[in-house]
Amino acid sequence: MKIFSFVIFILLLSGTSYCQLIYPGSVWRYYDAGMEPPLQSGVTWYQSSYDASLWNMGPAQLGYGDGDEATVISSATLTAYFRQSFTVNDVGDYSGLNLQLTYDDGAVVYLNGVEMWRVNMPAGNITYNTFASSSSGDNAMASITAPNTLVNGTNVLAVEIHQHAANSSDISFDFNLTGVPAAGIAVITRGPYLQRANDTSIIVRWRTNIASPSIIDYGPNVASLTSSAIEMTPVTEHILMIDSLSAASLYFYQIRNLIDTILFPAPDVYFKTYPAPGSVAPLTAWILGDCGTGNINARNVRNAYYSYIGTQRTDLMLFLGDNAYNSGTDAEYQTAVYQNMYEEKLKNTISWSCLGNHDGISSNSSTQTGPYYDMYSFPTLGECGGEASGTEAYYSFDFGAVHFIILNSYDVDRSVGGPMYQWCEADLANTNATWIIAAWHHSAYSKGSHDSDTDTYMTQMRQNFLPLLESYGVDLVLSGHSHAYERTYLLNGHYGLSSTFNLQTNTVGVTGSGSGQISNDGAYYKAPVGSQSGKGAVYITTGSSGQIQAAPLGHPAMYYNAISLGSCVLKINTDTLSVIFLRQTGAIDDQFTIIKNPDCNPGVACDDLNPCTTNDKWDNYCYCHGVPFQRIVTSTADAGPGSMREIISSACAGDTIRFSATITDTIFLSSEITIDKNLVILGLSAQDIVMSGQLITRIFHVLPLTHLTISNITLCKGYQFTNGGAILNDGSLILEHTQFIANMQGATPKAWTNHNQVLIKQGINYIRP
Amino acid sequence: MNCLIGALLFSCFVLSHGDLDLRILEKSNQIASDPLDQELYLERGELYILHEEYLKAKLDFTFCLDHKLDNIHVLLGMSKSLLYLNSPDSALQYVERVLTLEQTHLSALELKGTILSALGNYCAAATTMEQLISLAERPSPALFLEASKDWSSCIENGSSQKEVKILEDGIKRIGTIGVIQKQLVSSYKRLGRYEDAIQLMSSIIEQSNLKIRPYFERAQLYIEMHSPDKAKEDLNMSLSLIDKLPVQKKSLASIENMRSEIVVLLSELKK
Repeated sequence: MKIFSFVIFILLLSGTSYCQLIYPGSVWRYYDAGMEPPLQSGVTWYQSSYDASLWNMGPAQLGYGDGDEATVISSATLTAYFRQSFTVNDVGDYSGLNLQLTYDDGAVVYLNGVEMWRVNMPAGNITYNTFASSSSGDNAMASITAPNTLVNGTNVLAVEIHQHAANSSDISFDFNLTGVPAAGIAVITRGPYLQRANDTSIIVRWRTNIASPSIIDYGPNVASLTSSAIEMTPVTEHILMIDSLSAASLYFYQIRNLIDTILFPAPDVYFKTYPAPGSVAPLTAWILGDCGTGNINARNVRNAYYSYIGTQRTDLMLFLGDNAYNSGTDAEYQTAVYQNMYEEKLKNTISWSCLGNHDGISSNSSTQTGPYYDMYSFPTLGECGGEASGTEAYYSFDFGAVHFIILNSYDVDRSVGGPMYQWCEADLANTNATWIIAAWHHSAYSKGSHDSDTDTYMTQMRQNFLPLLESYGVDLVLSGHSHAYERTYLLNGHYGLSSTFNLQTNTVGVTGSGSGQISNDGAYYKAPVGSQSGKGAVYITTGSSGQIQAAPLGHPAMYYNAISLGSCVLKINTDTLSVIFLRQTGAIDDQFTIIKNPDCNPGVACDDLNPCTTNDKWDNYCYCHGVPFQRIVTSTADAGPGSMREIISSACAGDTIRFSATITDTIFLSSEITIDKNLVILGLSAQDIVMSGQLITRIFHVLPLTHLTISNITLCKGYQFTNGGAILNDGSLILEHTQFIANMQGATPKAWTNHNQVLIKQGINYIRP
Repeated sequence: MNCLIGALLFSCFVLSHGDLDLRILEKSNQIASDPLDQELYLERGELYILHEEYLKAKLDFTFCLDHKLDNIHVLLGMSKSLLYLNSPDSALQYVERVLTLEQTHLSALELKGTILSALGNYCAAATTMEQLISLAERPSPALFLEASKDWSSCIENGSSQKEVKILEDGIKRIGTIGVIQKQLVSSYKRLGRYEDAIQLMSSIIEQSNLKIRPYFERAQLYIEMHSPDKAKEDLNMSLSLIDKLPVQKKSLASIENMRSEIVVLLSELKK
């Protein structure tokens, strides 16, 4: 519910003047309580002023009984009621309205409180109990063109869907409302969307139904658009570069031609230039792979991100290819990307992409022709930082201290020494960015719907480009192609088949074979200096932003993999990079962090902030860590400094307690020692360590969920009337070369009392009193 | 629960967009229902090409041709299939038919260039690639490199000049692109035009942000030209630039490797 309400909020917020007024699959308020919605001070449910805020909400298709609903409503209702609001800035833009209805069995449609259309319903007064005239069949469709009865501002479309009989098994509802542009009126039919941003310029692109000049007014706030960029040549495909901007600056904008404003200013209509190259600035990026289905799955993934990011700004969107199925045609892109999909983000977030195999069906990288190349404006001459590639098929750009390299794994030469390889090598050599992120479509590691052991494109990218990228310290590689989510450990040097992967030698650093999660076994660390400088990269296959596909998974290089819909969110802040995998449900199923400590100096002292370690130093991977303290018993006293009791109390979980050579006498205890953390007590066979309870106390009590190992110790005269002996074990006890002498429970000899698990390794000796 | 999970996965599998094997299966089912519809064979043939099943593609296109469907798509598909089945002679015939129907078909020209190159007919391949370049609004650097490579293998008079000229044209047309410049340096070298190569390397050095590798490459040129002093000068410049790199860059494996290469060359020059 939270996700849907936020999506409605941003849809209402935008100042747009598009033909599309209500999208198929959009979110509706609905009432399915088995009666007509009650009047509100005489106001009927379909009138504009009716307050439907307490109604349920959900995306179309709404209904029940067919198994194809995005929102299932009550099957007990004979009639279901639906409402949606939308904003129109200038009704004069439209000469009429196109209405397309999906229904089962009959419908009455109202616009702004006035009935405008009746489908398969009898004439006359309609009430809750009025049945449709006949059975319509599942998902029947009807369409009409109607006069423009819109109003400026908020409009309300209300629809009631009626069963044709009390025992009808299903209801279906969806709606598509578009405006017919008035003659001579230019309306935006695609975009705007933002391209090729750097610290001083940006390209804004949009498409209109008729040719018109391209004019953008922009400025530092919505009410002050004091600058303009103008191109007078009338076109339908508008590409307008705005330059002489300030770095990392926010500009609101509007779009107009000589007659009309066709995109009004609004709080969410803005662009923000990138930070100056090399400057430190936080980055938030939304990563989408294989999103091009244009269906409810892609919209759910989108909605989850919108809900997650809230009002925070997104600095860039990165599409990992297969952005529009099946063949990347212009019409497919319209459905999968620009209409009823990402348009709300694209108008204020710079988007980048790499070519997928499906995009490549309609486009050609040699000649840079086809819809993919027509619709995007990527750098070719290093306009956004990076080396000039001469082609949009592969390119690079900077966001402050982050360098993105976008490669083409599909229809260009992938060989070592080929043009893309040479360019990539020069590009890597020329960047001093703190973070290097590479992206291409065909992932290097996957056992998803494509196998990187056998797929030619995937294998060649892995074998040919990974050695190059890793030698220049790449940090993160993003890909799609397999319709799953798969995320590796921190890897280095694995270029062969999955069967050759070695967790020890192909992962980097102390934490490289772990989760990379700070809250778990720790982040990944990458050394910015020293012998291990730059080593380690995480590889992500995130090709499930529009669909999933059954697959074996289980590539050994993966820390986590799942056949789950979702997208990734990348955040970088100075020396920390983190990625989350955000499910379409809003859940975060995976995350990791890479840290590059700028203060790192391998071998030099640091503080790992762990009180249980000492001699903390930076290792070669710039991971600060120490070694556990030496816990040495130096006193035979019952308590006090250096005593067994004090050493155990101050020890950390996992420590080993040893004995000084000066311990030659028995340690006499006046009360038992509680073991509340995992410990090893390690005597030496030559040392003859003896602990005595003096027949007044047990010696140890091992608490639940705690492990104690005792080796080469003699425990004698432990006593308790009940649960007696030397040890009361409620946890896990391991005994090795341990002597039990004259331990008692009341009057009965007893070595220990066990309530859980005792493992006797060897050399136990029992001596009765 | 297992049934539900299975049904869910099956529905995802069936409803998934775009996977070629599924689309081929769907097309085959359509053909089974309508076995004389040539358009279906054309569509499936194109899917087979994308799926790299060239023999099956060829069979589908053959069916089309046998049933009098010989449009550009069929002819182009047939040509591609034959090329990938190592029959460049036959492939050439079909792509020529495409160009008879549409002289400026860019994909056909590109395919023809590739076929001619495979046949060892480098002069014709180069001419075709130049024709493609002249027609394409935005030719990629790879096309210029391909054309130049073909000219370098062509043994006609004037091909050496054409090998160089197409690269020079590429730089004029799409900008100072590193890969084209490097190929041009290589061509100059091959043709013994060392002064031109040095001049171009010098201009590359000037335009580069990080000059380590360009100095290194110019040093290699000087070595070939038997100018060890100038080579040493450039190698030492490379080394000093490495030393000035930010510490995190200096320690990278690639930079360390480059340093080692430079040091080895310097020590060889001292001998």
